[in-house]
Amino acid sequence: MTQYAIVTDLDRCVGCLACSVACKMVNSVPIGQFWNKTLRIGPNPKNEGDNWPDVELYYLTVQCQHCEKPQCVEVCPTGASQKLADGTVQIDKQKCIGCQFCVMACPYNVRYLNEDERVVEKCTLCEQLIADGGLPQCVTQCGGRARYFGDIDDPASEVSTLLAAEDPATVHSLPDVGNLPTFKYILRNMKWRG
Amino acid sequence: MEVQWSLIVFTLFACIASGVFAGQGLLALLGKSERLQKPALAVSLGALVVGGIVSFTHLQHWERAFNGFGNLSSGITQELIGIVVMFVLIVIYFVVLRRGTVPKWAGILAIIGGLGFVLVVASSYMMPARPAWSTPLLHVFYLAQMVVSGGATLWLIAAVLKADDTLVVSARITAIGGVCVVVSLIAYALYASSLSLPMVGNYFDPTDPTKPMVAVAGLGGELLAGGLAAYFWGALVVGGAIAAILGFLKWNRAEGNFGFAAAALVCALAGGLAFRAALYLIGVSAYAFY
Repeated sequence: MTQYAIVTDLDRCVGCLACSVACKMVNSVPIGQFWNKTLRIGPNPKNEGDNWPDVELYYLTVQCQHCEKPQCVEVCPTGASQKLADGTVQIDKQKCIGCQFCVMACPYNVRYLNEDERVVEKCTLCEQLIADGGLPQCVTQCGGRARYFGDIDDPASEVSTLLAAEDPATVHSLPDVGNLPTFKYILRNMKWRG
Repeated sequence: MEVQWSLIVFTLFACIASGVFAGQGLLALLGKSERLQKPALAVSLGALVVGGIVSFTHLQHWERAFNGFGNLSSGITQELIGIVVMFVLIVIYFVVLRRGTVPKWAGILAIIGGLGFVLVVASSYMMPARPAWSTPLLHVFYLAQMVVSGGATLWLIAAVLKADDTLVVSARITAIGGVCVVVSLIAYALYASSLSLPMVGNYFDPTDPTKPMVAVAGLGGELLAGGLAAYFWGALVVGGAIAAILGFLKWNRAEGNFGFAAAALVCALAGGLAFRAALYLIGVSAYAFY
């Protein structure tokens, strides 16, 4: 099985928002909507009760996690939301009836209703680019070289080798409510807060 | 999340349709007024049709619905199947009703059909991604709503038709339904108070810099004494307690029921709308910071 995913080394992320902006540019994401956001998590006390300067923060890029068991696909009545053979979750806009149950079923809130087309949209992992052997634009444009793309199920892929070299305690995922998110985040020497 | 009024009205009418259908099945089993059966069946069918049409207004591309529905794991597909099954059951019930007295099996079928449809509708909102919805208490509330709104509708029909032998029974169903609504809402508030959602501490979204942080802690407090208190207490007091009191006041009295029945129905519907709206407003996603 192939499972395309993005691994983000949060220690390298400087919060420049280049990935968020690049995503909007290349995918013509409507104003006010984001298929990829960069959240600042923190500043939070390093240990409970700590005050400044004993605080820490990291930047967290959040987008569709192209889950292994996507809830959005499960609730879609028409099969518009579907999991493809490459592991990505895509939306067939011709089939989408705009019921927005997928929006409700996504634990990460990363789906939007496109008001003009009246269909739901989200990160496609730049399928138009990866189908040609390219990289998602957020990966290409990452100035800190924090983002890696590849087949997470292939032990020889760059993302798998990267993860294999890490202490498992430093590899994290967004909260899982049974959807099994495939994206991974590496965070060393800081407390992962999600 | 934003309140989805189309879905709210759909589920409200689904409860009315199911409640009336199951209620008239119960009345048939009890051998109560046959005069009420046909009007009640018409109201049940009407509520089902109105609910179904309103649900379509929620769809952005309703015209595509006719060539798509097929994913059985989808709550919407299951609801559509539920509507079709309910329609078939209503037709079967109508056929046996035309032949004379409703047989017991048809009454039982109506009760099972009504209960089943409400459970299917409630199940479509059971989403792990929305912790505030992901509880069987949602089913309990919908069932309670079905009993109170169905009971009050039957009560009103009986009052209009002056079907005296049915007035007391339907008033009692309304009273019991109101009590069930109160109990289910208290249980839900306890559940919401015990919810523990993922927290990230302080955070900031640079794309929406003036937006306050989402307060995922204290959802129960929001319901009981926060911004959603008016919805919650309105649903509990008006849609539950007052509807129940109205039913209890006519527990044994078959005279002067019209005003009480109409008021009970209005209360049941208003309470149903209020709590459903609260459910949307409390329905933050499991990861609420995007």
